[in-house]
Amino acid sequence: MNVSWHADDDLLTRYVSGTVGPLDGASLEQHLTGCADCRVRIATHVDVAPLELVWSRVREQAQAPAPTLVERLLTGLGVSASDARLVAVTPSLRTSWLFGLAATLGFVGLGAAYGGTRGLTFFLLVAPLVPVAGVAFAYGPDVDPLYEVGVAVPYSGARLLLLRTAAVLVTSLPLVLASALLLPGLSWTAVTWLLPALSFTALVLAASTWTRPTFAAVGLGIAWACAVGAAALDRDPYAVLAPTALLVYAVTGIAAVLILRLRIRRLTPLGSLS
Amino acid sequence: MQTDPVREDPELLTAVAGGDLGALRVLYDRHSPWLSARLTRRCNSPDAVADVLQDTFVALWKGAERWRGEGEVAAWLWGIAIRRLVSRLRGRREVLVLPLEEVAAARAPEASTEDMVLLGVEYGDLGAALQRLSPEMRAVVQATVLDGLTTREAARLLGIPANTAKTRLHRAKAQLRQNLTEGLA
Repeated sequence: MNVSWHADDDLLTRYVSGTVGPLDGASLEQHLTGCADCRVRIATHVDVAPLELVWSRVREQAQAPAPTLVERLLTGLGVSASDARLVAVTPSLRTSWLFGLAATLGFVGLGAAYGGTRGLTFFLLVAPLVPVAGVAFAYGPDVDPLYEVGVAVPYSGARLLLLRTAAVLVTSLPLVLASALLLPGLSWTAVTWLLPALSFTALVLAASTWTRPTFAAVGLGIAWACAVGAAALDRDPYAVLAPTALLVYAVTGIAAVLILRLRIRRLTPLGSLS
Repeated sequence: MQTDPVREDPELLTAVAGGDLGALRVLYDRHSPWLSARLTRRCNSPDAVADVLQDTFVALWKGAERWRGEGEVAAWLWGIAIRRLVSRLRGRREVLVLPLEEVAAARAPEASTEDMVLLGVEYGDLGAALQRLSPEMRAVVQATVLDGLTTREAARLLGIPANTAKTRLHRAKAQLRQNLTEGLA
């Protein structure tokens, strides 16, 4: 690089303030690319305050933990980075939860396949409650270690709950469905359990506008266990998935969604604590 | 702006690739002032310039090992920055890109004699020939020849169709050639 020519202070001042002509500017730019001395000198003409601000952002980003696989997948799908982080830290999305879920389903599925009526009862008992438990453990003071922090931030609790519900359904339903479809002898039951599952999920969401989602899920779980148990005592576990029962699930599910829509603003963190 | 004379840019890049935040800071102190000044001449939004500067150094932090070790680190950094600017502007029409002559014309209506002298020294006939180009053509020449963008990238930066950029560059070169040969005659 030819270093016999250097920019004078006047040229640098006019360049930084934007009053330099196009050709002087272009000429200086080409020179700056190759001349460390002039780069040092132009720094004295540039306002440092905004640069310090940018540096603090750079440092923050450089020190931030690398996004997890789930986060990168979600941002790839168009979810914003902050939402992706919120979904990725959902307690019921943790690997251990998914592993436990898969193991439970494995045993229940085997029972259903080879254990006759009793095995089928177990499948009916567990499968619709899986997404319910997942949703209940996705949000709220009982399970979220960041819940207290979340109360203090200006982020809608409803948005958080719905985001995580979507994430839980997307991860847990295919697992249960796959295990059900792999089983011989379940036929329509392999699909129809989805209706009570979705209906119960909506019920838990609606109930969490009054109480903690975990309470709602436990109550619903007990009620469902009683219903399946009663049907099993009658030697007809399929009764819980009879057409009339399915209609009831559909109606309650739709009602729950409507209630949720009406009361979703009540889903403030403080409201669900009370 | 204190710079460590012992540690040259390539050495600092190696340190950054190894996760040395201090080295990134030294590089930032050395290169952010001129980068921000150069970006400001191409984009009228201080927010956009700040974003691009941030993106550039975050990219440097994550990809310092991509530097091939040839040429100036400054030129490599500018390559990152101008491309970040292009992608920052994609789909965001609220940020205006000012072709250089508009910045200059808005603030300095007349070129001083001094400028002309300096021009003569730096570019000779080429300077005069460049100055005779229309602003649209000069913007394309600047983005491609001086900023090192492809015609496609230049088109995105200037908000014009890629084919238009290609045509303008082609015409600009023809006109420059003609002006220069006329100057010789």
